Amino acid sequence: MTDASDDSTPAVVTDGFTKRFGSVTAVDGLELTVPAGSVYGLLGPNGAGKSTTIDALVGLVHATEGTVRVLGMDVRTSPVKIRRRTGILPDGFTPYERLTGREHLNAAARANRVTIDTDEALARVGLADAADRTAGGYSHGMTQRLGLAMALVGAPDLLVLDEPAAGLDPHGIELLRRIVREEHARGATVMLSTHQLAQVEAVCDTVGIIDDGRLVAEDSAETLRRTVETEATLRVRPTGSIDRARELLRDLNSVTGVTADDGVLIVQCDAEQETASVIAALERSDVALESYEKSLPGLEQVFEAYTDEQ
Amino acid sequence: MNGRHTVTALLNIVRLELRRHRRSRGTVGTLAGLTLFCTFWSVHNLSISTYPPNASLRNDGVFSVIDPGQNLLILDAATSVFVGPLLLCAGVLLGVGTVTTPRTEGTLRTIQTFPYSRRSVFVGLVLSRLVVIAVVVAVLTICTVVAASLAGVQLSRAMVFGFAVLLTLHAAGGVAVGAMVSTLRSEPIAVYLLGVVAAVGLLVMGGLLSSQFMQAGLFAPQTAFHVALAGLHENWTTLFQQALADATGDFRPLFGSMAAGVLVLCAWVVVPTLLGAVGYERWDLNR
Repeated sequence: MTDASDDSTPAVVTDGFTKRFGSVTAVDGLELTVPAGSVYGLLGPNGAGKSTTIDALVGLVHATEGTVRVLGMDVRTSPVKIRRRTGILPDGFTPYERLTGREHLNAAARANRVTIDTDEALARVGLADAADRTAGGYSHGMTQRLGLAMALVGAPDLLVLDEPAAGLDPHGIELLRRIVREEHARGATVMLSTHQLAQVEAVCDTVGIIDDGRLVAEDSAETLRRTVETEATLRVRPTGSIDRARELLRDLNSVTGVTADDGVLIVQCDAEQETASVIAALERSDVALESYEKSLPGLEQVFEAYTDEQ
Repeated sequence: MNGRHTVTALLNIVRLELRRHRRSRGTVGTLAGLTLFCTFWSVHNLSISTYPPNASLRNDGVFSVIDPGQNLLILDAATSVFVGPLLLCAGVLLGVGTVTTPRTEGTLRTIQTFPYSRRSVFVGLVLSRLVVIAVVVAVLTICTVVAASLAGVQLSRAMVFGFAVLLTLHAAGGVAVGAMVSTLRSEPIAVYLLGVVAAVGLLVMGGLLSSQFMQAGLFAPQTAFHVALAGLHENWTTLFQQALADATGDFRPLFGSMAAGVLVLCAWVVVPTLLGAVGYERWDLNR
């Protein structure tokens, strides 16, 4: 497996990618760019087109229109070369029931023409004790771990994980996050597709939100939070009278609610952009502030805003 | 370089699939049953134990071998309705599972995430099934040889080997046709129904059609099999003609050389495999 050769070449670029299954348009003119070396989270509700997009990246489905380029290569003309540098955990990964975990990894190693230490590879995903058990006896979580181990064989330049947390317990999810960080630190690009926002928030530096087959937003999680006019929460600790502060806040148009909690005022603002004006209004008044803390809208609110608006 | 990689890919896929087949109780049980049945029928049809030492061939409506010295045990096995046609149909149904079974299980997506081309995966899956059918024929042949030996019937090694190879090629044509059928639809029930239609079609082509249009018969796998077999022994052409005579007793002359028969059998393996590979390359392997 070669190292990522050119940091300036995006790991994934789709240009007008459209996929139709009969009369159903699963993906419609998708324009997606995954920067090399990033951890990219593809978010979307069920049926948004995430898995179809992932499948197209690795050649499991063919584009109806448009182009898909992975690691600088066209999927239509170089699918084998792409898969040689890409580790894939597909949605609903199914192992061979009668083969052991070790045999699966050996098959992946032979396919990628690399030599691996299967014990070490399985230990990395927490399957060391089940190496010689047939995969048919694995739980759903163990199966996902096996799929992850197979995707990691050969140190791929691009790691594509479709719903990787499905079936994983909290330990498994923490292990998944650790592996994603390790692969990112190694220089690989990681693209994970999920509807579980917590996974994206924990590890992704770029987020793409897909809905009804179209990319409706793509930016860092931080920027997406700021661009969405969802409620933000301020926690204000005044030094003076808390009642005076509460009275002042209620008079402000951008404040939708104020509650008191042990000397702290929890202020609901109707948009993140309004929090600065709320603080400024308090500071101009006779209410002194000891401290204040802003809670940005969660990614869930961002997600709902972008997918509900369409 | 690309050729070497393709061969390596094919070997890896065949190895993976054979390991899966070997450990599948369903596959092993079905094939063991098929082999035993065919072996039993071949031996039973001959009634070897009742042969007088100097008996000769007779065809009086029931093709019975009564001169074991002419390797006619093999000839009878070859023309038996429960060996040639059954193995052909079994080959078709085995071939139908080429793409259908792994797609239904979900392992088709798994193997396609490896850096193998679509063509390599399909051909590798077909090759693994050809190996399975070759094993069935080998076991059938060994059992027949052993049974004959126990009855004091000596068989020529060249005849036995030639018969086994040609029977494998014959059944392999069925596998290839079934594999091609498996790429026509994604719904398992539709694929298996099409497989049954294909199997019946092949039998009709080799039987009914060839009796009406001899030229059509040459391209039928069953006829090509008989033509190729007839070339194994200088006396067999006449014997085949006698055995395959129609209801009026008129001979249906076998035409074409053994080479032509072998070529047709090979075409029945190669052409459907290529067509199936082309069809499979265009598939979407979504869930």
